Amino acid sequence: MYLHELNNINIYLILIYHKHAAFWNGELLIQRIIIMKKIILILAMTIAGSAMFAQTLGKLTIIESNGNPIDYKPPYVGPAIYDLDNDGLDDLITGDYHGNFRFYKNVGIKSNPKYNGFEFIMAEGEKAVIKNW
Amino acid sequence: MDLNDDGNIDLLGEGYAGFTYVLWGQKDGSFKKAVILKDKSGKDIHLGSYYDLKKHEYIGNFFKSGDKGYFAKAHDWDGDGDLDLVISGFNGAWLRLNEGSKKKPAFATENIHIIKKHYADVFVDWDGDGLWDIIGGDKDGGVYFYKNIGKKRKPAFGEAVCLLSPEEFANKEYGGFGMASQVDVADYNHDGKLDLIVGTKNMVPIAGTEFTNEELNKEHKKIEAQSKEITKKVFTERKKIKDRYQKKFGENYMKEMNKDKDHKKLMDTFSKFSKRYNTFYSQYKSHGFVFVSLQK
Repeated sequence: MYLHELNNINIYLILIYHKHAAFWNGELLIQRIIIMKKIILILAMTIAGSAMFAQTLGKLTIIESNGNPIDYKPPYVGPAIYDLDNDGLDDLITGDYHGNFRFYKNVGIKSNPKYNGFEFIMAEGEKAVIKNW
Repeated sequence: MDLNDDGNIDLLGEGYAGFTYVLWGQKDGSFKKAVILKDKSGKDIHLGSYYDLKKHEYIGNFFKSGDKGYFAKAHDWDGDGDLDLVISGFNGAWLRLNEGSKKKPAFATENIHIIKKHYADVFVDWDGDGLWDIIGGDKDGGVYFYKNIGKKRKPAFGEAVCLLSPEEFANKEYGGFGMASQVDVADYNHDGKLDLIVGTKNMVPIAGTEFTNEELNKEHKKIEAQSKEITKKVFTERKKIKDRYQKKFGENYMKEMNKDKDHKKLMDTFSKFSKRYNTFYSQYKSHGFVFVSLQK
């Protein structure tokens, strides 16, 4: 089903609802139509959503450091893009399974970030860590 | 993220024990050691299930529970100008409103369940309608989008839309899928469009396995569904037995409970399934990759 077909059905549903709702309390009618619109929007997002958004995303590329894929062991990693060193370039900051944070300095340019290794983020002279136990 | 609005960037995270930690940023750009965040009553912030660091025991349905925190983020949820906490767990995400101020956060004592599935990793206006939306990863490895269908100060969300399926993280040559995805959204290449940056546990079939990629993916989905079901059953049943023995024997309940026939049977079931689970995943090599998907 295409999105324009879905929109036509939405309009049709609203008209049907409107016809029946007219027999009810007039003030409630507007509120119910608003709720109905929200339900339809959720339905539309659910059915057509993937096509609407996924089509704009490009292929997945593994980010590299020093020319090799960044590869965590154990394999859990949470990334964040942020200019931590205030040099005008966004860096890569990661959190890992052990509760440590890594800082990958962007040594590339704005339109093409590059990383040559990392440093652990420190806290009071030691590796910053979120304890598990 | 500057949690206390002092001009210094702070780091926020969730420990495996289920508590929310902060590393307060200093003027020179360094950080203080991680401390557990407290709510306004002075209690440690968690979602209900956690590992008691003093008593050394699990509280709640710890291992596969919906109420143990995995990740913590800060975001002005209610649009009042201060940062609230959003903590993601096995069954979605929970909100701890900041009832204090921008400079002196005082987090609510109650957790409010805001989404029932997936993690809430990023709060960003993904579809450009003027309202921030939620984008998050999941244990299943996908990336999900929750459109904000509410108002400026009253966010509301419907069902999630899958932006990237776990299979899209497959190795080009060997196949496989992603698991345990965590997401950030940023204009990675500064072209004016928002891009996805995704950390995953990337599972790549070991070369020479006798099954096709489709067969492995099918079995993976089956075994994950079974895992969820069996673990839930085992921990629910075990809790009943534990409560019974704790009531009868107090602190020394463990020794007596281990002799219980039903308990033994339950643990055997769990152990057998764990063995099968581990055998299945031994057919894969796992990687902790960070992917970027640039928006066209």
